[in-house]
This record gives sequence, structure tokens and C-alpha cells, in this order.
Amino acid sequence: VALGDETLHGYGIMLAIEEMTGGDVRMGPGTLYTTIKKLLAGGLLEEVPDGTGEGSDRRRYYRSTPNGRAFAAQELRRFDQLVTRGRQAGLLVDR
Amino acid sequence: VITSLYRLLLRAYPASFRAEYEREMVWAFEQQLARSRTRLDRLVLFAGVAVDLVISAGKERASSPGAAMQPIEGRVADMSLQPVYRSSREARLSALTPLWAGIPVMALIPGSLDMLTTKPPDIIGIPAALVFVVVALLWAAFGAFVVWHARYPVVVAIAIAIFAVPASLVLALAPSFFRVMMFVG
Repeated sequence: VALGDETLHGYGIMLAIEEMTGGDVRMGPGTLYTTIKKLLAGGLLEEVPDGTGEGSDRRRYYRSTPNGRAFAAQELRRFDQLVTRGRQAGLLVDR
Repeated sequence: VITSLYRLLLRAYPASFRAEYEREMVWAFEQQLARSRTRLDRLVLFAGVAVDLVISAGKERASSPGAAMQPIEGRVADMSLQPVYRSSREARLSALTPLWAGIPVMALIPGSLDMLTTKPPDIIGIPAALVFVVVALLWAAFGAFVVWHARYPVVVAIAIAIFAVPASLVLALAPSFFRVMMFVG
């Protein structure tokens, strides 16, 4: 979700997550790269060539695959339905 | 210094994972460090990253190919930065601890055995002595099982301390129990 349609390196993904959550979630390199490994293995993420040529030996760039974006959309719909039901049940009060 | 320490901690990950991601992880950590303004910020960052590393390395090791007893290893690895306990030969030797530790102890304690056997025989009756020995054997067997499957030295050390040493002592005292049994008989 943090990647969206962008192509980012690992540290860029960490920053995107931090920004997206207003600083609430700060992902460490350990969690990030073990997750990247799983997403690559699952075909939800793919590595793309570094276009900048700067620091290319120490960072690689990643983007979501079509499958990854479809999976993210499916998960978001699921969360959306859950939030809607929670609101209908009076569990979620708008502030 | 902090980066060197971080590189050292990265050894907690499986070699294949390090080969693939170590340089990127160090680079990302350096970027995070560069954003930290004060020494305290860096220490806080390092503490958080270290905890994250220990947890994720444990999960990575537990899910890496060839990992046996995955659920247990996942939990253990969360607590341990020790390298994987690779040597099955060592593990097998350790698994036999109740035997190789128990026999010399048995030889060294005859005085203690005599002291034990001078107690009134009804303190340790035949059924109690038998149960005690059987429980010790089962305890030792379970310890051997844990050691056999352990992949981390810390697990081996804990298993030996909890299972093998007490079981060895009980087995070493076993002749005394049987002497008591014979006396009672």
C-alpha cells in the first residue's frame, strides 16, 4: 500500500510508511527486508533496475506487481467493509 | 561504532539472507542514523532497530529452508542472537550427556551414596525409588530429545542445565536406591 504505483528503494518504503501513518509506524530494516523477501517470493513485489546509477550497489528498487496491487486492493476492500460494519454497529464513532 | 555493531548483529540472520540484503540493510540503517540529530536519538534508534532485528532474524531463521521444529525455533530465536547450532555430531554428543556425565558422577559419589543409604530405608521405599528412577530416565530422555533438535547453543545449555544435569545426578544415585531396595527386600 505504501508503494502504490511508485518505485522505491527499501529506505524509501520505510519513509513512505512513516509518512503514511503520521509517524506512528516506523519500520526497522529487519522487518522491512524480511517482508520484502516474502513479497518478492509471493510475486506481489518485483525488483526494477536502478535508473539513477547512484549507490546502486547498496540499494535496489522495488515496485508492486499487478498481482500485488490487486491483492492490496482486495485487502483494502476487506478493511473498508469491516470499518463500515463497525460503524453500523455503533462501535466506531466519528471524532 | 554503531554501524559496526549493527553489522555484527546482522549475523543473526541466515547467511543466504545476509548475502541478499545485508548491504541494503546497512545502507538503510545509515540513512536512519543520518536523520538522528543527537546521540540520544541514535541510541534510541539503535535500541529499536536491534529489537526489530532480533525478532525478524528469529522469524527468518524459523522459516528458512532446512529449519526443523519451526514453531519452537521461532520462539527461541527471538531470544537468541547465537549462531545456528549446526553440528549434529555435537548435538548427539550433548544428547548423551545423562550417560557420559552420570557415569563419572556415579563413580565419584560412593561416599554420598553411603550417606544416603545410612538413612532409614523407609524414607525411600521400593515403589518411590522405582518411580524416582523412571521419572529421571524420562526426564533425561526428554532432555536428550530437546538437545538433539536444538539449533542454538543457548538452548543446548539450558536443556543440559534443566534436564541432563538433574537426571545425571539421579541416575548416579540410582545404585543407592537399589541398595535401599535390596536392603528393604
